[in-house]
Amino acid sequence: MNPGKGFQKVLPCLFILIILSGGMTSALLAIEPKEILTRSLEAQFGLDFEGIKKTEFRLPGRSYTTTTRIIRQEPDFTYTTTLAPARLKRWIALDDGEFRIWHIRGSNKFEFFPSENSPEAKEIKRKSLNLKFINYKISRLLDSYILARPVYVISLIPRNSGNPRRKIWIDKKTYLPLKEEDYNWRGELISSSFYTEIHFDRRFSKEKFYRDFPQRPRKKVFSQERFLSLKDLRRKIRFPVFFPQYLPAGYEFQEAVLLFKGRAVKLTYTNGLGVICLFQMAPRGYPETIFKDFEGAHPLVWKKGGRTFLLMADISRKELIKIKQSVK
Amino acid sequence: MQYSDEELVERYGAGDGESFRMLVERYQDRVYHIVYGIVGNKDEAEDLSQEVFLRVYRFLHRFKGKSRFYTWLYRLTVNVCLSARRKRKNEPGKIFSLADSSKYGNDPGEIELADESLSPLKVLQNREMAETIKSAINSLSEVLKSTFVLREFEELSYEELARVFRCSRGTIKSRLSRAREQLRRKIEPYLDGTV
Amino acid sequence: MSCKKWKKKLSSYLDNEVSSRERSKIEKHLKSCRACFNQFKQLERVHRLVQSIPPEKPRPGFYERLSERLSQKKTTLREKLVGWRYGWQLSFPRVGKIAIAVSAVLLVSVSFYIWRSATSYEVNIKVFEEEYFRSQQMNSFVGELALPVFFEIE
Repeated sequence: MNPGKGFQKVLPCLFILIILSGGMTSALLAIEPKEILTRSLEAQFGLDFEGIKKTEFRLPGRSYTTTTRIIRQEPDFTYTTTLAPARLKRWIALDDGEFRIWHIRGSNKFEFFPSENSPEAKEIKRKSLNLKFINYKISRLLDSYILARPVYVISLIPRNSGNPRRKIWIDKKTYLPLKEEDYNWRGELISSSFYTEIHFDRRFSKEKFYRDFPQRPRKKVFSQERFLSLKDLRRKIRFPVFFPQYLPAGYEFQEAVLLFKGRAVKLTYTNGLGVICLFQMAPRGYPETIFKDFEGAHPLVWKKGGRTFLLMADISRKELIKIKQSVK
Repeated sequence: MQYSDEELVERYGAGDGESFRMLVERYQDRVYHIVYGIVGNKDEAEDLSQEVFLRVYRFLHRFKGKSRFYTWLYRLTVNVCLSARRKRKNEPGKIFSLADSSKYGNDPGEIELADESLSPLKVLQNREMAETIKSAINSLSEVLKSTFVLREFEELSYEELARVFRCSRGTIKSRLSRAREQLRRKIEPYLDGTV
Repeated sequence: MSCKKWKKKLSSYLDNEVSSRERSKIEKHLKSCRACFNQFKQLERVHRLVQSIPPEKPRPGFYERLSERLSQKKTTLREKLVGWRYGWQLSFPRVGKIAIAVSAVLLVSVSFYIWRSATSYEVNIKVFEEEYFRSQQMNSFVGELALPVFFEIE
């Protein structure tokens, strides 16, 4: 018998076996899309990186694009500067886990907000992820590359039609999301965000960022109250707040924000991805609230009970009206 | 966030400029209303109201919290008005009279009427009466006028008024009594008997 | 007691600044004395008239004008001594000055749109678009913006 011939017969079988087992192994080790998303959320809090990000935000008839340089240092430090458009070039934001400070470079203007890296904010983001798991079909698409880095591609399709959907490209190595695109229920792009440059494991001395500020700002009161729960809201508000009694399926209360020193309230509801914002302006003592630049804007505006309401969401007009009618 | 006056003063002392703005916004209308009641014209009221808050800004660090903030503020307000008036003693100055009524707008909606179903004639009469009383108030002496204005517009108690004016309660009592008597006599001819 | 003495008490009675004993005495007298009763009614009328005067308000932008004046004032010696602490406070009047320059058409920052809309009661849709965008960013994975997107400078 010729040993070579026998060997030749075995070889293709062996070959197939190896491929199969390799395939099976990777199938066994294959990571669940939900797990990818969870790791991705935590990665945002736990990485050091520097990058340049381009964001486009679309409203009917208008679109806004900004390019920002972002520096993140774990666990809760963020520093962003605007590179484009020119009109916003001097804006910087510094977040140290306690305060988020906005500043226009070269001026003495500061605004203080609650940190977006605070435990409250992180909690809201985690809750939002859970809502995504409930309200969305999460699936993995074919892997791809962004900035020459291999990425997972995850798609989120709403279980209830009429809601926006999303596609995310997540870096395989660090789990940082590198690109994201949102589409509304009609298939139109609502927003897109992606890094044009990214560098990991860059460490900076945080002190150097304060050099952009004319003096180390002494921490003051917040200009706004954000991330308020319903309980917080009830404690702080000075006028009775109206709430929508109807919400599209899957939407829950996310946070309340006090604007204009407590004279206006923003209520945010989300299904994890889509967002509904109801604004209401306090009654009494304020003459006709005039809204400028209203042509072409898509929010619903109406008056009831002596106050003015504004409703913004990326859902169908029909649903918007249903919500409006349920506000009490 | 809703802070008390005293908290805002403290925060201002600790370096928070925002607190000063909040104090101004809280009291600007009231101070203006009082000043306008004492001096009688808008331009001067604007000017003097600003002066009041300039002084607040300058002297707030001296406020020790021994009295309520508004007592201190109103004392400042009265002083600003009285010293301004003393300077203008020889100037005729503008006093508000019926001739100035166009300044306040002839919008009948301006006058808060208890009964909204009054006839146009009644509305006209009410507006004229308001002008008359304004004119009468203006004719009071400065000290009587400022005491009266503070009492009527801010409803401060006699105790509080005594602290603002740094005098006795009895003095306040007598000033208000004299002011009211003078006003009563001035408007008596306009009262149509149906009081 | 002669009516003259009673009449002197009417003002305090109107202001409710009499003891309860005094009050009942006065009320008793008013029931029996026509002249004093009429006098009191007239005092009440005066009071109502004064209360009916609509409250005067300053022109919108009172604080802006105040800030302008504050920034024009020279720093006092005390401010120089305390240094940066007062400098921090003085930054607000300066802020007001710049706000006047740009607020004519365009809004500069959150503090200005909040502040200006609080005084002039005009609210720009951009405020709400900005807030809507921020809420979207909260639910986004790449969200790291939280900087104004819609505001214009100069």
